[in-house]
Amino acid sequence: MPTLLSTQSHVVHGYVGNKAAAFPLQCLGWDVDCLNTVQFSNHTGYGKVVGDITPVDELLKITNHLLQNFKYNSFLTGYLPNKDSVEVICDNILNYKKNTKSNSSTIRPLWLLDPVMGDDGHIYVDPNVIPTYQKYVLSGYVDIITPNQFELQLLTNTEGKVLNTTDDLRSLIVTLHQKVPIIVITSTTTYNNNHKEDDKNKITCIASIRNNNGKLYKFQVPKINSYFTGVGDLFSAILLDRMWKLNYQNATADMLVKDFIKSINYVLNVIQKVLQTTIENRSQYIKTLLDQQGGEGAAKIGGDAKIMAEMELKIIESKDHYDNKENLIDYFVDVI
Amino acid sequence: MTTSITNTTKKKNKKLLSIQSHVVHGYVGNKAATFPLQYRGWDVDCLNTVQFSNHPGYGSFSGFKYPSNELTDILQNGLLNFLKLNYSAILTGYYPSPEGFLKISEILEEQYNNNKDNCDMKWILDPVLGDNGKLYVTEGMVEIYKKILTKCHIFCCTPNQFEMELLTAGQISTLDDLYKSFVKFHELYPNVKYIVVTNCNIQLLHKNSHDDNIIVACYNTITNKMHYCETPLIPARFSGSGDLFTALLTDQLLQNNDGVMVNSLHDAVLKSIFLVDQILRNTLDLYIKDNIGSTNNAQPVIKDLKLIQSRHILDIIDPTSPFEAIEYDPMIYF
Repeated sequence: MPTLLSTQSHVVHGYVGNKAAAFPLQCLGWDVDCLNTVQFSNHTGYGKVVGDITPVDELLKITNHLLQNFKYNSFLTGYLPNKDSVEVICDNILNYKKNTKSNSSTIRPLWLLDPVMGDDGHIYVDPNVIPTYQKYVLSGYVDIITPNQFELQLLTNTEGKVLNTTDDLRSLIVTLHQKVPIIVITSTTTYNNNHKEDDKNKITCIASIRNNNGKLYKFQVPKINSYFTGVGDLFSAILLDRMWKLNYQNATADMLVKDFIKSINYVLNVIQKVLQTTIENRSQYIKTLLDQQGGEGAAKIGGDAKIMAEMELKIIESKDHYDNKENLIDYFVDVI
Repeated sequence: MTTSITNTTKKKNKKLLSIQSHVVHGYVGNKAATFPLQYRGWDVDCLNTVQFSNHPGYGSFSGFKYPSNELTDILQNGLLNFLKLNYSAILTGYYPSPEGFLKISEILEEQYNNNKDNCDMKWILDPVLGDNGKLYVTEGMVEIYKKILTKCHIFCCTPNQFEMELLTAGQISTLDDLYKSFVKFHELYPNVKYIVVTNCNIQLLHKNSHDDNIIVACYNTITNKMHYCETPLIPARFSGSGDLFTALLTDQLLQNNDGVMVNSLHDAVLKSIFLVDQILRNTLDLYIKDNIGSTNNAQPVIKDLKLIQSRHILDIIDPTSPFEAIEYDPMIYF
């Protein structure tokens, strides 16, 4: 059984951060150690939050104890509340990876870092978190990153620049590939808008693996016209599981590319099924309300706790989706 | 015959709030309860009372207790007043501060009284005090539990033998002692509906009994009947098995079947014992495989349950328990 240390936020109610990641990974057979960087009543989208962040000195002590006493096959780092917590967590993981000797029978621990900083031009962390993430992403010890397009630009100091062409995007990815083997851009909004009209009803995902002549793999999934929370956290969790099973450190190049595309497609299938289950399990009241307001309406009614609660992913009801390899839809579009 | 438990909730509402400890590594407290309940369809809200790297049974650990005022704030101002959540079940276990737990109990009791008509909140209380003659909380905590059990509406209380002795101020050496302790418990704490005593180490008089069998007994205050069940002792010591039992018992007692409860108290106990027994045996088997040649301890101490590797057991929706619940007849022993 593979073991994982997942360092993310904890909400008592709802499914973001560790609550979105742990159950699906446990269903996939992982022993998930959840280090909680906050304990909040609910996620911040509700307009009000009760609870507190975990003091950095406590995070440091617990992380040290864990890494000295237990063996980990993987690390998942998501939302970290400030620069100090990013440093404490990432420094420790980096040192653990440095000290883990790899040989032919064991692979080095995988580290998936989700550089949670913002979206659509808005930064929602302390600005000094940005250079800190850059430092660790470029350390050579992170295996996988899952930025959205805005975070990709923050990592490469190109925020504000318009990405017009595939080559604009490619140059950023190739730059990061010098240090990061696997990069998956979860949504490419700006770049997407400059493409075909048809693309507007779809969400584009770009995945890329190092030493592959700058080839990018483009996937598109139908856009479900609604408001969701925790999707990125779920995505990272399922992706980590697939990349672990891909065993990329030991795979041959040809096999790798084929399996890589299959793996990303699998992750997207799981996400789509969970989103579908989520909207199907909402109450009739919410369904009607959302129909009237349009898909993005929930964002406007943010702050109404009852409505926000209905927007939560149905992580428990989706139990059978996480390890279901039947009836997969092919979301792969092209090599670009 | 026993009465079956009826549930007035028509809509499927498997929302549960679990207030217990959190360990990053391993499976005790909320980590032992949450995954099995989620896997069996419960939407579990976890309020963590501590965050420790691992449980103290490891010999060393690191971590902290959440401040009491923060926990009551999350419960009162977050979950109940702001989110207005209606839980069908509350599960409480280890709590670090007596005063803090008293405050939590007041909030829960108030919630129970305010929502009696439209929500059937059932509180399953595991009075975590100690085991095998050893207290692992302060004396003050024992008094707080007595106070809470007196004042609050508890659906089910799950002490082990030592905790039962503490709460009823008596010793339990025989089945009759056990029966009398239930009667006394009910006199002292009449608002507790069901009582389940786990891990009883008492001598049975009948011929098929083995010395090292473990007794689990339950008492239904509606019928005033005690049932008990013998299970063979597993030759190992586990951390978290009690927390797992309480979680699975909660599921067995409250799982909805179109709004009608399917299990009587002793059936729910039997099925939970069976599931726990299977998971412990699976854990021991995996432990032996992992430690081949390196352990010749007749009774190994197993620090972590193999919960994730026991998913096939948690998948058993309606287990058929091989164990038997015997109704205790107090008359025959007088």
